[in-house]
Amino acid sequence: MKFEVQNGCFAYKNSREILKRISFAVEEGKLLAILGANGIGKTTLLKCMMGLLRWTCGRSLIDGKDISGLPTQKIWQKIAYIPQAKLSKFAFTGLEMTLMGRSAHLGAFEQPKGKDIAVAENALEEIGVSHLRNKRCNQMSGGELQMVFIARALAVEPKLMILDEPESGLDFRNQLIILELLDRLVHEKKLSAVINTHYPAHAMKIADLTLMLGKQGRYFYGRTGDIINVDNMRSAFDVNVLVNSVENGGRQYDDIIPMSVVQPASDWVR
Amino acid sequence: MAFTGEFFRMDEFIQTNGRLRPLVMIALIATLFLTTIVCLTMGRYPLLFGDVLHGFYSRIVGHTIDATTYSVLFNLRLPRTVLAMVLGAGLACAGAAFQSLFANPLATPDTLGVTAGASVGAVLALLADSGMFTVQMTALIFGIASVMMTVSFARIRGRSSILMLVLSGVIISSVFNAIISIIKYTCDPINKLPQITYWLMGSLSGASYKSLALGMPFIVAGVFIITALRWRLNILTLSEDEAHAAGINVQRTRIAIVIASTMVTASCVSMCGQVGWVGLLVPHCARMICGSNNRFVIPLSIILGGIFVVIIDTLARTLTASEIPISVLTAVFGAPFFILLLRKTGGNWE
Repeated sequence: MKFEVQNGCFAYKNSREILKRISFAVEEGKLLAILGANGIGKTTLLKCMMGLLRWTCGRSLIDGKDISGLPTQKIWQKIAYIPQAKLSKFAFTGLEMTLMGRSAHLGAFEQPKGKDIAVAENALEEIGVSHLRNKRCNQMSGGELQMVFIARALAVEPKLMILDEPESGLDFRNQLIILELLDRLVHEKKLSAVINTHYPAHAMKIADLTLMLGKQGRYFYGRTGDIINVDNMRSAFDVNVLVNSVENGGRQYDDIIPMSVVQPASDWVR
Repeated sequence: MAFTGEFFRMDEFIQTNGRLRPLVMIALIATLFLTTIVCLTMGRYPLLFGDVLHGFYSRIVGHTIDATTYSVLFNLRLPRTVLAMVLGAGLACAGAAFQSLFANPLATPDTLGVTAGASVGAVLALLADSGMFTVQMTALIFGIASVMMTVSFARIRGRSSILMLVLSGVIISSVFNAIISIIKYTCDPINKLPQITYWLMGSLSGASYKSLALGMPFIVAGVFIITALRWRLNILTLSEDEAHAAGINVQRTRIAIVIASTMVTASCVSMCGQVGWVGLLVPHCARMICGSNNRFVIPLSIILGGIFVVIIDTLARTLTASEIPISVLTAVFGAPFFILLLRKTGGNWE
């Protein structure tokens, strides 16, 4: 599946445009990372691209077809969305939560059947969290909860996964687990993924493509290695960085080191 | 079996492969019937367990039985007990549905102002000496209007927090209760006032096959809709975006649930007045037993609600020489239980 955005613009009611003529494409087996400062519109961009918010101009396409013309249920059989991890007031178990991923495949009055339960169990198995099957979500750690959300997304059997800051708020180890899992799902299982992240280093680690939202609706888009550089980081984040690469055991590790804030902080900081 | 090593989990025990164990369901329904039969024996005119069974048997095969037994059993106690069962099942089911719909463990027909709103509708119709059907309809319309008001006041920039929803429910309830007070203050104190006051406190003493035939279809239809949509209710407890991303028609599902739940509540109110606590208490008990999955919570609430109100109503008519209003008893039992629940969970539901 190929997912595309053409000339997407967006403005909330009675305020200025925050996304201007954004275009990008994600193909099968590719991961796109979206970077940008706080409040610049990363989550808004995700919501617009999936149709949760309506583009004020431009459009999103699945395999060349405008999604605004597709039945919503069909769209959500192909796209799985994981918002920033938020706990439900109700204590569902890991399996019950994962099973909710099946809803786009079920009719309004249908209950999940044995087949759906098998899909959900496979999803938990696939990412190695079968032990969370009967654990209640409100007793899970942040890392466990995020894994269950990813299992829920896999239970959709999607072509494209969209994740809003999947590794935010997790410890060092859990961040790595999530990133390596996404890397595997996209590059071995041939899913596509779009993720928001606050960490350029994470984009450098797993993203094929990067879209960096900058000031006044400008953005940089292209191969990750081309986009995350000193100039673009300075322009989009007002931070001086050092992009570095170290070698260890025959493998190359890219890193990015923030050095100083560009003074003075301008008015877009929110 | 569901021994996880360190502790026993009721929710794992009652289900198998994501379904309620048939045995559990059978046991619950058996308990409901047993409770009902035991409650049918109780009252001023005592009947034996065997009398009740014999009465039913005779009725079915067409034998005649002692006229007093017949009259007590079939004309007085049976319609009333059936009403209690339907009322309990309906209110508990509506409560569970509202809680999931608003992703708010405190949302009930009472806290959302539906009960108070429906009461105003019913009182107005009673004042006008309308028939039961009109009472039902006005109660329904006022009930839906009040829940719409509560929701719209609580909604700020497209979202409503638990706190805002409960607060706005309190406000709407108090406005509608004030309207009831004004009506009571100004109405005819000889004929209307006692009627309205007594009715508001909740009583099932007016139960007859005729009133059942008028009110029950609404409750049964509402419960049926909620039961059919029960798995979708799980998805409504997620955040707005997650619910949309689950590929369901969020708006349409919500409207169906609101109408069904309000229909149940309004119908209960117009038949029995304000019977509080059932919609809050019973779904919480159900969740303590089976976890949060509405696939189980809804059927469990329906049956537990039936059992609870059948027992409470039997106490209401047998504890003292004169009848105790049922809302008094649900509050007496409900409040301490709920305080215990609150203390135990510290407000961190489940």
